[in-house]
Amino acid sequence: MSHEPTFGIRVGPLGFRIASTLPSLRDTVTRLYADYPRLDDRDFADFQVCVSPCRGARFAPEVVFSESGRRPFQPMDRQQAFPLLEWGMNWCVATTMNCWLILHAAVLARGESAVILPGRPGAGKSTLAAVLMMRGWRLLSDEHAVIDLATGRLVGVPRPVSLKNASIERIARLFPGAVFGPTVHNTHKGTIAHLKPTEASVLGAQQSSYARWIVQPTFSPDGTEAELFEIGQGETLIRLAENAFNYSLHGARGFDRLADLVATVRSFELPYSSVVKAAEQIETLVE
Amino acid sequence: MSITAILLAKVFREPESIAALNGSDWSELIGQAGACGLLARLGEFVRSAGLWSAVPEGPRRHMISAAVVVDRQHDQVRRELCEILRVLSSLQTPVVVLKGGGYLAAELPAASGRLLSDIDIMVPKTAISRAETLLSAAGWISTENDEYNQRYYREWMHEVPPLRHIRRGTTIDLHHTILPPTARPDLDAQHLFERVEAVPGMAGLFVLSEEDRILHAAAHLFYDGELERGLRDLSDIRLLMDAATAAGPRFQMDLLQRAQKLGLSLELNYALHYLDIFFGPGKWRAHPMNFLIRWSFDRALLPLHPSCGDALSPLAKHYVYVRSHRLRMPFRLLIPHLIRKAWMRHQADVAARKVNE
Repeated sequence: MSHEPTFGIRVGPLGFRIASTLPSLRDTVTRLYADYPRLDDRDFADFQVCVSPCRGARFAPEVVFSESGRRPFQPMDRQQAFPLLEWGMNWCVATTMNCWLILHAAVLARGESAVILPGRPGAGKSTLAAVLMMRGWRLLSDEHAVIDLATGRLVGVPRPVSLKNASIERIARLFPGAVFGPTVHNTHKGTIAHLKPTEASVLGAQQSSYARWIVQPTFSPDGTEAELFEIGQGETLIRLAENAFNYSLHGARGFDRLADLVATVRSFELPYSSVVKAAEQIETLVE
Repeated sequence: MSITAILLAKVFREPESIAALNGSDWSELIGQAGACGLLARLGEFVRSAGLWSAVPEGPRRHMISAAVVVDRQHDQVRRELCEILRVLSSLQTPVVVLKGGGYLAAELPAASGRLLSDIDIMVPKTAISRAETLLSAAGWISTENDEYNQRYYREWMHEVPPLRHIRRGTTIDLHHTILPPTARPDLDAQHLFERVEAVPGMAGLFVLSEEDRILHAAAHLFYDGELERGLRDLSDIRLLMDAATAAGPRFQMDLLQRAQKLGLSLELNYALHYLDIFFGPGKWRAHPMNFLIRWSFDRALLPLHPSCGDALSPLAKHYVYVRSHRLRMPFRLLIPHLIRKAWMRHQADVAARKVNE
């Protein structure tokens, strides 16, 4: 198909072939995806993604994301090549894989038990997810809670964690061993950098896990350090449905699966100002 | 190897060949099917050929994902058709649902795995104004706010711009004939209305007759400027023909005669030619086609996927686009129109960039 050399990786059950003529992008991908199982040429790949230079209407050099030749987004400044690739890969999963129920949430697991952190924008779920992961939780995803409709099993699709603005510095100081992709300024989400997922997360991606807790974090810098407040099933179900990518596609089956989910988990709100304390609070839930 | 010898077509011709596909071949197959809207239908096709067990887990997920979307959409369209019928009941004329909506309403094999982009409805020309008024009172309003575009549709094309429901977002394309009136003023829609068939269980709703829906699909394919779903449309025709051929031995004769009566013999010939090429020889023999048409449609009908086409494909597609406009509009209108369209696309691009920054 494509004649460019591609970097083929397995992300949980999915295969991505990544192509780019940009040396800095290739370098970042090689570093952040170093631990991932590789695809060989004859393997099935779900997505063929590419970020390549394109001729833009603007003065600055631009790049464009494509999947199998389709370009779902406008071109962006060349500096934003890696974030663009990551957003593009997220787009692939969320818009295509309707065989699963996909919620907008971070998911991490200890053994077979998982916590789902539904993602209100600005709530800090990615930062909290990064902290939990660096403290030994397996990251299933910082963006997509992928649920098997028949069994409720959570599907792991771990990828670099996208961190914004002050969180980047925070995580770097808390975890000196953390490996980052490039820090990119002036994106539509502010300053962004991606944290390399832990080896345990990547290699454990196919391990089975089921949701046992749902925790909705809310960051407020002047509020309590961290406190868990338990909330009811009805409220939880509504919030999950509101935070879903493809809930409405699944009709009754989707509702049944979410109803099952809320009936078998404990559900909380977690206002916090200290992300480490927030992580500790979540860890108290693990027996 | 011929440019039309793509993997997707081979699998439709010889489904058992999927057993020999490796992972990379499956990537290509899924990619081609996804690009032209045939992914859900491919899944159903493989299932009904008893070959689902030969499909590895990865590709299965893509076919299932496509089926989920189609199933959901079909539910919505059925509900929408009921609503349209209710709103247009005071018209007292037949309401004919065309293309995908028609296949779905009449529960035809051609509805298999088929996504609809909008609902195509045809009423007699005398009822068009009243139909538009009734629909707009019920919430379907014209999508065109731009004066130029309104004129394009109404005055030049003699068509109604698409109507979109303000709450549900569903779109109705309201027609009084099956091809753009400026392209084919000779086509008398009255002939079509004379033969329409009632949809069981939906009083007042009709579909075109067996021959007419095939001819409509064939004609549309060769008047359309954008053939991203070209193979899907061709596949529809194949399914319609297979069902009709099975139903009666006289069908072949009837179809050719009907094509002549409606002046659609040329378009039917195009369709037969390409059905042969992509989906395998049928019992039909197409007459030779004009070289330029063949050269351009060979490329324009291919899915938009890196594995399909050659360096000339963009040119071929561009030719098909311009050709379809030339068929609908006289040159004195066409050139300024194309220039304006290109300008508006450029403006939209520039505006979209500004939003990004």
